Amino acid sequence: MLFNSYIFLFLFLPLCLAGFYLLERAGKKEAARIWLIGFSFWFYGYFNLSYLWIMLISIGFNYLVYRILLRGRRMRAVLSLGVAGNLGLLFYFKYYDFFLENINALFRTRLPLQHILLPLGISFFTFQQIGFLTDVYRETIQGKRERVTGPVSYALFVSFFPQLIAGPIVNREEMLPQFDRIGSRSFSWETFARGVYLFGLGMGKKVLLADTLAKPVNFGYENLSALNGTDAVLVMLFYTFQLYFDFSGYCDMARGLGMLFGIRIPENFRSPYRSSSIVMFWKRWHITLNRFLTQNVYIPLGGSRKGKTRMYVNLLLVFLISGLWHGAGWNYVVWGLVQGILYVLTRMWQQRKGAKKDAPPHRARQVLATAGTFFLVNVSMVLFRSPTLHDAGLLFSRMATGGMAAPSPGIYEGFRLPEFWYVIKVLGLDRLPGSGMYLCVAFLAFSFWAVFAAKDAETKTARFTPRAWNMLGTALLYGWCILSLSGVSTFLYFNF
Amino acid sequence: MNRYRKWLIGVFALLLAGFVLAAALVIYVDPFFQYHKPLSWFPYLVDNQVNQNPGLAKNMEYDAVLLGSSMTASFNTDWFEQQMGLKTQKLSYNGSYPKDLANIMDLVFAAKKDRVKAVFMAVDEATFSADPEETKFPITPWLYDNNPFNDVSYLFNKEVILDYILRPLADPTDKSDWSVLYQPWWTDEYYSKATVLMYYEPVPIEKEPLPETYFLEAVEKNLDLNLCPYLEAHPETEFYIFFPPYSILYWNDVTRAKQLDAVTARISYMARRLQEYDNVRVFSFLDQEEIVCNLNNYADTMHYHKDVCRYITDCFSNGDCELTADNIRERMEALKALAAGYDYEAIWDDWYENTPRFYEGRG
Repeated sequence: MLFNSYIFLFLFLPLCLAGFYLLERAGKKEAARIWLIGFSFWFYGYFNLSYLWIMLISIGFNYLVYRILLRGRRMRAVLSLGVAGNLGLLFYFKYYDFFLENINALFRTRLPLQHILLPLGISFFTFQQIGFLTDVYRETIQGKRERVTGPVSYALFVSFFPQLIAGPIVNREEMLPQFDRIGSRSFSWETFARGVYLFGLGMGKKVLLADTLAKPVNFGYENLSALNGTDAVLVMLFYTFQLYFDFSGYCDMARGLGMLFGIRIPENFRSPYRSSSIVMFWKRWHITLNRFLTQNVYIPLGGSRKGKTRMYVNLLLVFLISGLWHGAGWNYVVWGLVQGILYVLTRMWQQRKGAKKDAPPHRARQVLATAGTFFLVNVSMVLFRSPTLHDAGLLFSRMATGGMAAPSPGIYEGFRLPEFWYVIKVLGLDRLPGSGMYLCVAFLAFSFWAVFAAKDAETKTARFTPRAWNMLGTALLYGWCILSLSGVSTFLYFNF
Repeated sequence: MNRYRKWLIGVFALLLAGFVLAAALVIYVDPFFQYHKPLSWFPYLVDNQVNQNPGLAKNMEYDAVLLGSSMTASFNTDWFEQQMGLKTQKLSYNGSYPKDLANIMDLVFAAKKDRVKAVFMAVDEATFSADPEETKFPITPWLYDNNPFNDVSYLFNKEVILDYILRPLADPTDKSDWSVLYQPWWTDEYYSKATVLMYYEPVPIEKEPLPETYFLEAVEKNLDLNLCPYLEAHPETEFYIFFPPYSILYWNDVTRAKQLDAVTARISYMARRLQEYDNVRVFSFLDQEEIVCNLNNYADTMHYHKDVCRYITDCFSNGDCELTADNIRERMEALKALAAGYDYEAIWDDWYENTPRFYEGRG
């Protein structure tokens, strides 16, 4: 189930919280953790019961590898087996058909595609478990004494529902000690209130902003060849905002949920669009994936220890893997490659300049650099969203050749939310020329403000103090989001 | 008390109050008619067939229903009361498939049991060779089932509250007229040969004709699953099933696609199967030349003027155009002869032909 669903908010979460805290209060530590695991399985199995079996098998396999690893014999072989098992599972469910398609294209064969259903979040829990095994391996060979993780802790580490299907990708160091403290800590109203606040901000980003921005984006990608130049630019821009609000909103919700259980989940986004270089962008965007790739790919490949050329090759490889991790398609591969090239070029330039990589430059230069970085991110995100490379090319060609014109109705009509109808009517704006576009412009302006000028959710939560106005604001935000979860289908476009 | 605790209590109390208010408002006005019949004073906006028909079926007072695609949208339900004394509820689904008809009949008969005196139903013969499970639009489970828990999607829904409760209150000019629900927006001027021809593009000519039996297996399945079970289960209900009068351009496409034998075989098969039931009366308007050959009766190749709807209603009452065991063979042959022998090319000779509409001014 999704966080932004009635069943989650009205049934799952209240039940889960109530049972968890009753058990914890009664001092039943193990039962409280098993309760959380049970609910996490329900959460995951609700999408599709067969997904649950796959996750259970994955957890069982990895736990077995972990226990064998603990014996300290032939550790490298055991680790390799574990990583291969995980990658094999991921390959089968996520990349097998992609692989076959390419074999067919390359060798003109007709190997039948398997159309395997991709279990949700498999990339996240697979990487998380690979990270667990490599951490254990690394720490063991460094001579650190391993405190054995029991099967309950391990299952909870992998399946804890707030971070299960869309991350952040957590590591054992930050999570296991917290799970261990369950049953021996006191309840904090402050943490709980901050969790409620952060979850609300995340839900607002996801439900009110991202889902609204998705309408013109979907329209644009369904009608690529009919877009004019302005439409195409707006579709690109809206998607860049949509992706950020969607993903970071979901992560905020995850982190807020963690707080409701007294668990701190790491930050995954830190105002990434304010970055003044691509290098900085990747320190602020999907932080936990980059941390994983640095620890488990970049450093084992030699990192920067084997000379500059090797470092750049390593970086490119990391970005290629990152692209492929995001999806089985050439558009993702090219997206990863483009990001890698941009990253490497920026690093080269920074090294040549000898400047401190992230040192704040002059204000005007910083604004220019931020705008340039935002532009590059926008362009590269077209590859990320486009179903195929051909579609990405089509969108770019519409930008270049579609001509400057007023946006098409399909682009701005998605912003006509019913709650604003009254505002428009009362202010008499509907009688003014171009009134259909006002909400679109307002949304765009708000998105720019939220991304570039407003405090991010993390900062707002950290500075949160209870006040009457934010009590009312939070209640309104929750109410607005919950009332927006279900719409009335109108099927206006079904006949076209 | 801990100030964070106080803050949380405040947030949840406000939310609870808001939700109680929202749910109470939706239940009281009930713009999708899920819980009660309409309030007499409220200016209901009824414009969403998929979402509002289920409630209309469950909670309106009626003796009869009018079902079918947009071929039923121009009917005025008062005519049924005037002609036949039947208080009739229109439950059209634009572009409906047989499964859509079955879905709404489930709700009608579940709500009214054996108190449905008549069902008037337009059958679009072409849709009866579709997949029997196909629906035009995905149905909204929370409106079609009896599960009270998924009603949250209705009770806590800003579009229901804003678009269907507050907006009609703020602007009651959109209020729907219960007798002519879902009426198309075309005004009289749109019903003209020139308009029809302007938007009409004939289908490409096929080389090979479709075999006569091509559609029959699928039609049989649809009848067996989506229509006949209701005819059998409700002998107390009189079913008036009619083949609507598509314009001659429809037959132009059928003949160009070399499907005339297959299509007429489909219609004959359906008519014969339906005639087997004592509680079914089958009407066909497909071969009514005064209607179908005069494009001034139409706004496009299929959608006819409300005057024609009035004529169809009169036929239900006086028995004209009814297919019977005695005339079915002859009527089907006449239809085939009309479609096969019509001079389609001559249609374009005079775009502004001034033939008056059939039954003009009676609708």
